Amino acid sequence: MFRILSFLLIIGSFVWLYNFGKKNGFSISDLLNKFIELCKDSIKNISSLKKETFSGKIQVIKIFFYVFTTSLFLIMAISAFLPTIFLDGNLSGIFLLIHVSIAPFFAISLAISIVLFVHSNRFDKNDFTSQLDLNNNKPPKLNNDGYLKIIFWLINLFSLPAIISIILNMFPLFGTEGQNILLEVHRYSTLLLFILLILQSGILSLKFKNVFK
Amino acid sequence: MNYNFRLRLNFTILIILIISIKFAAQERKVGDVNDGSKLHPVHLLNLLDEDGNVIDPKYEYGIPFSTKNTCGNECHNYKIISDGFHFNFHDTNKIDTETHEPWIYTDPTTLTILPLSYKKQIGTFSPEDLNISPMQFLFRFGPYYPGGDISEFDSLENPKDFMRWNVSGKLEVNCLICHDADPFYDQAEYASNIRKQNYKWAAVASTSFAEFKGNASKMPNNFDMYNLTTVQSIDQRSSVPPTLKYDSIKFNSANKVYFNVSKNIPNDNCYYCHSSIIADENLHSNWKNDEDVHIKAGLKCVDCHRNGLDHNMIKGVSDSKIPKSNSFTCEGCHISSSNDGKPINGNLGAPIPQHLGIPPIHFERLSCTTCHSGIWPTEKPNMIKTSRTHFLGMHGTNKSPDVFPHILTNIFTENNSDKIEPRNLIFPSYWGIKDSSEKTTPLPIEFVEQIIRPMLALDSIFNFGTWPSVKDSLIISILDSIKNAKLFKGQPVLITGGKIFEVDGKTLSSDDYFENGFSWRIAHTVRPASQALGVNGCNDCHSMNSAFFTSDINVESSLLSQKGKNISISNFQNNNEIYQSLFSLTFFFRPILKFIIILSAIVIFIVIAGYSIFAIRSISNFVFSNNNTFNGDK
Repeated sequence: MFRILSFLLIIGSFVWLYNFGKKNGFSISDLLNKFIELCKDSIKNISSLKKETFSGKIQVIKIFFYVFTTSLFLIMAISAFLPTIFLDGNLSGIFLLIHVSIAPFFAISLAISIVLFVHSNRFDKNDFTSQLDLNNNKPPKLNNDGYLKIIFWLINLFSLPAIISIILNMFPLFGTEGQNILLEVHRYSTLLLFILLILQSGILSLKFKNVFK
Repeated sequence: MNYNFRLRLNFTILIILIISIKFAAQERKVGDVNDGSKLHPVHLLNLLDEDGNVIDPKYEYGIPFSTKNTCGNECHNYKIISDGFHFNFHDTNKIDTETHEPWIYTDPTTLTILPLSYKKQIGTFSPEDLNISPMQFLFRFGPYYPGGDISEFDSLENPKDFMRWNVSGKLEVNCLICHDADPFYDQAEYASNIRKQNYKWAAVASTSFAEFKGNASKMPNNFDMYNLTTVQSIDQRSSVPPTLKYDSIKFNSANKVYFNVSKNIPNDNCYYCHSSIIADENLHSNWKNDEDVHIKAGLKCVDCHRNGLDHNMIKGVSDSKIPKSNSFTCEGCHISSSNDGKPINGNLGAPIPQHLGIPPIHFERLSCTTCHSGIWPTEKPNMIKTSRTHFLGMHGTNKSPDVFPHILTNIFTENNSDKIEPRNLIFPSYWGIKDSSEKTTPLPIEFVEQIIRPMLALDSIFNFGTWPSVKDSLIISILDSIKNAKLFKGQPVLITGGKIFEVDGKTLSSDDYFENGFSWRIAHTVRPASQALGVNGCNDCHSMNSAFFTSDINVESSLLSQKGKNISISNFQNNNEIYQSLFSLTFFFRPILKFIIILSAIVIFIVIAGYSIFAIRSISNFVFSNNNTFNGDK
């Protein structure tokens, strides 16, 4: 069930990204190239952190952690979904080794990223295309910033069951049935995280559309 | 009546006869159908000989009773029973993909260790492939052969041994070897009589109501027990003719004798063929080893290994041909649940395991026996001795722990269903011929014994200790001699220690062959949950030096140059050794990793909870403020 569902949802979200990019003038490979460039830049910037001002330092650290967390998540997602969907359905062997080795680094990096980005992801009036007014029958629409913030909070929300379910799995608290449920919770919440990451990268690309030109 | 009519009539009668015979063979007799009473029927019986005549126990020439007639004449269907699992050795056309304990032909003087099976098990050889006749097979393995099949039918089919079968008689299915609950019933006596070819006397000789002496194997081909002139040429001081005397006191006036036979078979009867003991000086005594947890809980072997009249035993695994066999597997009693509300698990009070904290992948990759059976894994795998291979329970058995063949036990091996299970392991060693299609067949045993054995000139006294090994040069000269004799088509080879050796010019070339040896699954002795692998945590298996993943298996080779080589147990698990070490390393850091992940989850939770409070405050401000406009933080 999970195998089919995750296959369909992942393919579906990539199709959405492809169409979204086509409509807005960028391709998936553009997105990937830009991300690699961002990785290189953030590593370069973090190594010359001392030269920056305090606010500059915070900005560099924020971008570094965004890039680092996203990279780790991608590796974890590939190491988990690849064997689950395309191989024997089990996470084992070298994939399991990669997955469990990266997991703690991802968890701490995600926590730091959330702390770094949480303040700037509070909702405000600028997240809507018009002013929000209860007396007005026509509800205002969210702009891209608003969508990005929703995605940010959803990522926060789904990361908790993803992490808690797997940590509970490691303690002798649940029997086989409970372990299976926890594993399902972990699988579905990470699937949602993966889809949210794709949506986020699409909308982010739109926000920084000029960088592809 | 015209000719056509008579022809049709005869044909119809023939068809009816065939159907009747077939039906008669399948029909259940009076003792095969239970009337519902749990009371055990008393078996006070007349003994019938092989011709179906009632035996007079007072008769001077004691005639051995026939189990086929005594048990099968009126009460039990011998035909159905003799097709059962323990007796249908030869009569199966199916290739068995699961491996069971084979008969192991062992001869250190010819460097031979060969797993044999009539059941076409993958990895074994049929005795017929080695030109081993049923009579030769019985001489070697007969002590643990319960009768029937080859020992009944070969007498009709094999002209070579026809005269000998006439002397020894047939070895019918010996019902008593399992069902006789009489404490005086002597399996070891049965065994020694099989060795002496006293086949038709073997069943009666082991009972408590008869006294038997004699050795049919020493008797001439024309031996007649009623005619002593046939044994005139035999030295009767050393070779006594088979003589049977019934203890007439144990018979009643109607010449009936009481058989203490039981459906509820005592464990001891199973143990005769199915015992095993760890072959280690420190453990080589029963008192140092624990009994199976099921036995200690009060179960008998037959409580799980059940069978119907057809005697197709439930072997602890699911078998589509045996109804309800699922219910008598580990899962069947301890785990399975039903959808219709009728409980399946908890059979006979079996506890339902919780397996707290064990990730589900373990149940996909491991069989139950991996954690619960055998002895606790050690750095160097232990050797084991088994009844059928090391002749345990017989008179005069060599009790040394290192009797040949050396069987390694608790080798965690991946099976056909990709599950790791504990197995016993041997490394076959034999002389063979490789044909043009690279197929290797063993040389006939007779040839090996008569031609190769003298060339090897190995010590023939000892059947224990270190497996003999010889120099490469000797192997080269023997292989060359076989080739030059041109008796066999193909290249002579020696298979030993997981490699195949053949002469290449003046040296021996080798390639992998049987590199993982021949192994078969084990299920007993079952340890309780409190002694199962994992009870001390993940580190029982997932540590850098755990025996489960890192133990070294000594590959026993008949070549001196190959002696002392080890292979990693990960080879048997389809695992990479480096990967296993790396994976185990992650468990070393796991407590720190757990701490980091928990800390991260707490931070994320605090952030979400904190900002949720802000969000609630903002929303309530927005909803209940006068102007109803959203001002972010304000």
